[in-house]
Amino acid sequence: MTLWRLEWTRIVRTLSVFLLPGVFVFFAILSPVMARYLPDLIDRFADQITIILPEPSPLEGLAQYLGNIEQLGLAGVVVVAAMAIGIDAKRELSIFFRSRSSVGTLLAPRIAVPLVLGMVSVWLGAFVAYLTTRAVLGPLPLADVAMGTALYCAYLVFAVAVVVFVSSLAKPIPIVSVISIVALILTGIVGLLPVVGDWLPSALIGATFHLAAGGGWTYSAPLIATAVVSVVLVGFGVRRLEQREI
Amino acid sequence: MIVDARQVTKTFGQTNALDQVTLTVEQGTVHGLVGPNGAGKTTMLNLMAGLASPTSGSVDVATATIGVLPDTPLFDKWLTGREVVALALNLSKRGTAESRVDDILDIVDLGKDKNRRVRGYSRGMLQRLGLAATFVSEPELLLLDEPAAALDPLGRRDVLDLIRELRGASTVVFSSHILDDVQEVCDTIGILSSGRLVYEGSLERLLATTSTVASYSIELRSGAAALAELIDQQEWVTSAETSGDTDILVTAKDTDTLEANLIPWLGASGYIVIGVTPRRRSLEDVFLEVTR
Repeated sequence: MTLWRLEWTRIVRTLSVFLLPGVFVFFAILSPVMARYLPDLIDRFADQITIILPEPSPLEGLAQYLGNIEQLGLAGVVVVAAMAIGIDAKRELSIFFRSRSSVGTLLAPRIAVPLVLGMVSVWLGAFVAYLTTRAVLGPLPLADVAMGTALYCAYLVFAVAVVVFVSSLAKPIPIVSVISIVALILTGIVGLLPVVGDWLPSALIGATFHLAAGGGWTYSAPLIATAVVSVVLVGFGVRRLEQREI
Repeated sequence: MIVDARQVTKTFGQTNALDQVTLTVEQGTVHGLVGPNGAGKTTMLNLMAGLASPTSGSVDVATATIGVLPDTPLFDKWLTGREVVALALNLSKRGTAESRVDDILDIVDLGKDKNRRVRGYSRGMLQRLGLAATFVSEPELLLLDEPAAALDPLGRRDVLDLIRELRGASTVVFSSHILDDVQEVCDTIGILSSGRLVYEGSLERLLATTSTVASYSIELRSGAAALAELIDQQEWVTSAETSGDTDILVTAKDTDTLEANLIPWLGASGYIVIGVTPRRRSLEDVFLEVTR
């Protein structure tokens, strides 16, 4: 049993390997279908009033999907990452691992496996959302959706780096998860500011919709910022964890 | 010497968990660390394991292969017992054969349950699994925090036998509040009280030198109270306390005086005495004496 196999076993036996992609696929199917049939549903149940909605477009289906996974999907990735990265969450478990291996060695698979699982889930969700949207609403530009998905995966690197850093500040997994999610929401809010927002990792969240809607490439700056900030957060986090006494 | 701790102080906030502790452990010995709750035993073990740093002083450990067993071992509950021990072996990088995993699980009596998830293990089973995970890589230094605390008498016996078998091959430092265990397997002990090391050395020396109080037990068929009253009147006696109608504990200022006077006096007293036994001081007596 190696540390890498341990992480694989963790995501299989805690069912994360099924639940996390499941969340993305669920919304990938539901969102375009809801976008397509919501006007019909409203029309059917609203007898007395007439609501006029624009004809749903493929972009609308994509926007609904992205809106859902930006919250629940991201929260899922954060929780799965916090469960793995929280090596000091329980003192006795911490003694078991830290008396046998260095923090860096312990964390490498604990960071990589949830991150890869998150990325696979995002790609799977994007693929299913593309197919569903195409089936019920019409085609989307495949290359742009793929590029946007890749950029969202870069954002996941930042999200997991935040979890590493927060794990060095707090121990209980629920607290690490909540603080990380709040921190990611806050960076999203700060990202609404002009100029500053263009440099923040949160600019990558809306890339899929922006590119699919015909927007141009504006992601060099947030990509660089994401890489730098992620390395710094992981570096500080690992250093703090190494110094933390049990 | 495998552990050399010098003038170690460890502070948590305003509290001194350890205060100027100097402690050494010789290679291949079994060293007991005893003391009341909050004495600093776990803190001392954590410092030896490198899981914490002293506030001042130094802790030098002359080996990189250390096995640590916390007082209440815990593992990822979705792993099986066998996977836990295999993981511990893999992390140790000692290159020991995988078959050692099954052997050690059999030794701690978890052979039948090794493929069950840890989720269903009892406290005693977790303790035994912790021992297996600690012993599997045959570390040079074993730091065991209350290793037999959660075990039934049979499990406790197995653990003590296991520790005894390790003598010479590994160095064992174990903390315990079960003084009988310490007395049974330890070569040397350290007694901690309120963060201070109040004794360090061999058990024999501790039991021989910590007190000059001399006492003998006298066993009669009956009439202990009357005889105790007579004994108590002798000038060489400090006290004569009865326990029921058949036992008297006689204490004198020193052993020589007691031995010179007690038996001749009893012979002349006319009482029928079944036995006279020097009262050996238990580790518990000594422990209470030095920690109060």
